[in-house]
Amino acid sequence: MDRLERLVNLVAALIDTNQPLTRAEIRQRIEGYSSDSEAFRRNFERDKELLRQMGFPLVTMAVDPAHPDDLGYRIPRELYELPDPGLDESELAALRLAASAVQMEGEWGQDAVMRALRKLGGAVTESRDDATTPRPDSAPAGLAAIPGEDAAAVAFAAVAERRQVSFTYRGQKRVIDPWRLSFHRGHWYLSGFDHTRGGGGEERMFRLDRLEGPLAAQGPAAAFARPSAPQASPPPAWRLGDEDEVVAELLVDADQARWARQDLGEGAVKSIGADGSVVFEVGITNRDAFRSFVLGFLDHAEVLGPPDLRAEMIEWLDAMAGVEGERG
Amino acid sequence: MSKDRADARLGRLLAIVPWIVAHDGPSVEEVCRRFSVSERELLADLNLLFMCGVYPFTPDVLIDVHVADGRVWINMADYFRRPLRLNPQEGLALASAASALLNVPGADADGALATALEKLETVLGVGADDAFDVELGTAPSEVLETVRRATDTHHKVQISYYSFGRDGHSTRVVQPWRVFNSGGQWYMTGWCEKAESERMFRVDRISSANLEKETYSPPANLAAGAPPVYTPAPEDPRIVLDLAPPAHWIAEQYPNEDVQLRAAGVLRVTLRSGQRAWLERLLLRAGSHAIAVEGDPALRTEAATRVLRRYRS
Repeated sequence: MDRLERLVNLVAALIDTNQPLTRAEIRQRIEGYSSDSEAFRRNFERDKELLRQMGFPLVTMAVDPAHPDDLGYRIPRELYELPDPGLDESELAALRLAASAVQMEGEWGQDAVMRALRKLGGAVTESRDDATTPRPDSAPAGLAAIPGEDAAAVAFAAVAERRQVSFTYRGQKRVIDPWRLSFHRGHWYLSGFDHTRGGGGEERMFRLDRLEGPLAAQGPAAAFARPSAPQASPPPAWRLGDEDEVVAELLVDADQARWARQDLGEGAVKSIGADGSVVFEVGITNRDAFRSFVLGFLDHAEVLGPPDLRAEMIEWLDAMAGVEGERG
Repeated sequence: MSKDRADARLGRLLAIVPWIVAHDGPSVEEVCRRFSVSERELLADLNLLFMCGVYPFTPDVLIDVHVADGRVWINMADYFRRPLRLNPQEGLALASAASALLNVPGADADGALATALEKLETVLGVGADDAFDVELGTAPSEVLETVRRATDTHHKVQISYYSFGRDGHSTRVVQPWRVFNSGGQWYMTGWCEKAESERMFRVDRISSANLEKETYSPPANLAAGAPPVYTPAPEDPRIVLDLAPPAHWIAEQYPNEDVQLRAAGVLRVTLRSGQRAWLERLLLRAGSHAIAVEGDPALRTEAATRVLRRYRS
């Protein structure tokens, strides 16, 4: 018998039952399992593994509380069934268009998006006539690419289910209430409440591609409440530090001011010179990161103050300029 | 039958069946189009389903599949009345695509995609508290919209561009082939009439863009998918650096030819770059944590001296 047929029958039986089915019942009731017990055991293990990998909520429980070792299996309907999101045809078409315009890179992204669309009821591809008419939402295939990381998928489910996650970051094991998953400047970030920090823990943000080892969900669902307004986006590098805050004054030449404004924000503009150059005021808690940012402008920017920050920059440059710099 | 094949078919079947159950005899052709499946594959799956059911597999508990006049009906499959929930990868992939496209400047914030995403996020459990967000990058929207329109309508576009690699501004006319986002940055590829060759531009470094009246013919075989963002040319000068731990980001962030772990956490990285300003930035930022083993030793000294002049004048 075809394995697919056996799997369909197995899933049907596990959904259809209110009582967990024992192995003996499964072997007897599902066509396609061998009468040889070793072959049955092997095939049933393989089938269970495949169903779990596909995301079937296969529940294992004691059939009779008096005999806790007697295990049975079922798929609870309320965990199996996708609630109907109520998408109309134009919304399905919009999702399909989005899936073609924005590609998730990596091993599983393209298959996963296709499976998701099918579960939602597929979508009718636009006919050729429609496709030639530009629409406000139109977007060519391959407009954008987003990395499909395993940790992001696990984090996505944990945020949705409000389950705690654990992982290692900067050599430390962390336990987090995950509040928010976001993609920002080319990276996935997870923000949430870090129970392992400080006295009673604090809100932190983690770049998922910097995790050391896997991210794993643990404990029950609905383990915490999400605040309504978690930190919106990752802070810039010069705010990612534990140093005492200093307010740096930075002069950027006119021809580079546009990009400095993009990075520092309009709120940081202190004054605009007659030549179009701009002085910014920037609060920093990570001096190394700020120096790196400023040096990105080469000789089109200058730290004006405070004096010790300016002196540090000069010292940094002196070390590289050598004798020539001393004279300069 | 291999494992992959069984799980792909099972997933497809359990998505298609609920839809057919919920619709009164849809055409086979529509099912195929809607679920991107060939008629042969669909009929093979339906034939198999025909023999499935629950214990004791008497005719009255078998799934009832009926195909006639190009239409298909399924009954007696109440346990398959709804599809399986989206797994984490599926939910992330589709929600990311929708959220990202909605983030592109010019997207209709009240259109079908916006309402679709809202409904999707709600069933996935990330609909509240701003729990999920995808942001593609910070190109000025008017520039991005202009170059995207130029690409769509095959109009040449005149841009003012700041070249990060050469640290210089220029104005040039480009035949834009593609505009795309990768790694959180917007890029435009095309034929640069000034350089008389193919070029890639970062959209956030275009300070102004204007549509020209003139149109152009795009090349016939534009590759699909995002092109590689930066590939050094083999004739670019080679630079070998020894990196102390605070400068290891150089090995992580930039394409390189080779990385070797030396003694005491020092990484020896081999890069190629023909772009002087790019290399100057890298060396100035790394400071004494990067030591040049091979390459022009004057480069860093000269760059540091030039920047210092601002502080000493």
